[in-house]
Amino acid sequence: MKQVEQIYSKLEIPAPSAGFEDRIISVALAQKNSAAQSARVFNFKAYAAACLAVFVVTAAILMPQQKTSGEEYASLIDGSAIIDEADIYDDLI
Amino acid sequence: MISKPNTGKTKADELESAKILQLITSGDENAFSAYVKQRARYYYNVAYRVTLNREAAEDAVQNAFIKLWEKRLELKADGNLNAWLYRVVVNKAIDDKRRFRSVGIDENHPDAHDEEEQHIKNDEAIVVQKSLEGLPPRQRAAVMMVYFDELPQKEAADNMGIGLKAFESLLSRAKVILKEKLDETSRTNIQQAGNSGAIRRV
Repeated sequence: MKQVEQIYSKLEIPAPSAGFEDRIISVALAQKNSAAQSARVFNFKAYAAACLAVFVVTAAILMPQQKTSGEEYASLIDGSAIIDEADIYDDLI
Repeated sequence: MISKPNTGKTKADELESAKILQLITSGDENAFSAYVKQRARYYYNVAYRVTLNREAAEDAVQNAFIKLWEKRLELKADGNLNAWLYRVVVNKAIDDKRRFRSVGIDENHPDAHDEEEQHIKNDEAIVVQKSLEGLPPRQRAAVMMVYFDELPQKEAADNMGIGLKAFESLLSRAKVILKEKLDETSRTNIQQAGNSGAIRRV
């Protein structure tokens, strides 16, 4: 399709506005500072996320220990009923 | 692996581009500035062929160069900078959400009315402009990459992030629409020229 093949060569392209290249350079290089700022924000977020993760992991580790302590404490108590039939009828006999 | 688009550059230019890329990836602002001055106009032309609007084309190129500078540390120093930027520019141009009225041909240009030759040239340019305006940006980009920049269809499809079959379908639709628009615009122009000629004669 020769018509299609040649069409873009006939397209008249207006010149870009004055200072086009200089504007790109200044805008792009200015991004460096904002990029650095966003990097710092990202670092803060990462730090906060790390702290939260440490807290969650620590809590998860400690929870079973608390259970273990409770179980140990429970093991110290006699498994038999606190008041048994003997206690009830002792005074009567 | 991205093959280079038909950028009209020689092997020596590519080597120079590789050196510039190495400098840019190391954060060299002077190298970046030199690259912008060297290549911005070429990418502006690429973007204009997709957007058909000066402001939108400028924005697409500016955003592409900003992306280059932001991503400089992530780019491979031995990569093909021109091909990478070409892809970014084309996609930025396609994604431009604004639909400006294109600038078109300057009818107030001093030579535009008097010279018969200029008239014919302008008529032809108007036909081309109006025909291309009838295509959506994605189809314009597909036609431009394959028929103007002479990219293989696979490369062009990769640039647009679509499969080869989808690209072939897109290109096929674009050709049909473009042919219709060309015929339609040519007919309208001939009619208008006939009418204005008749008016002048009267």
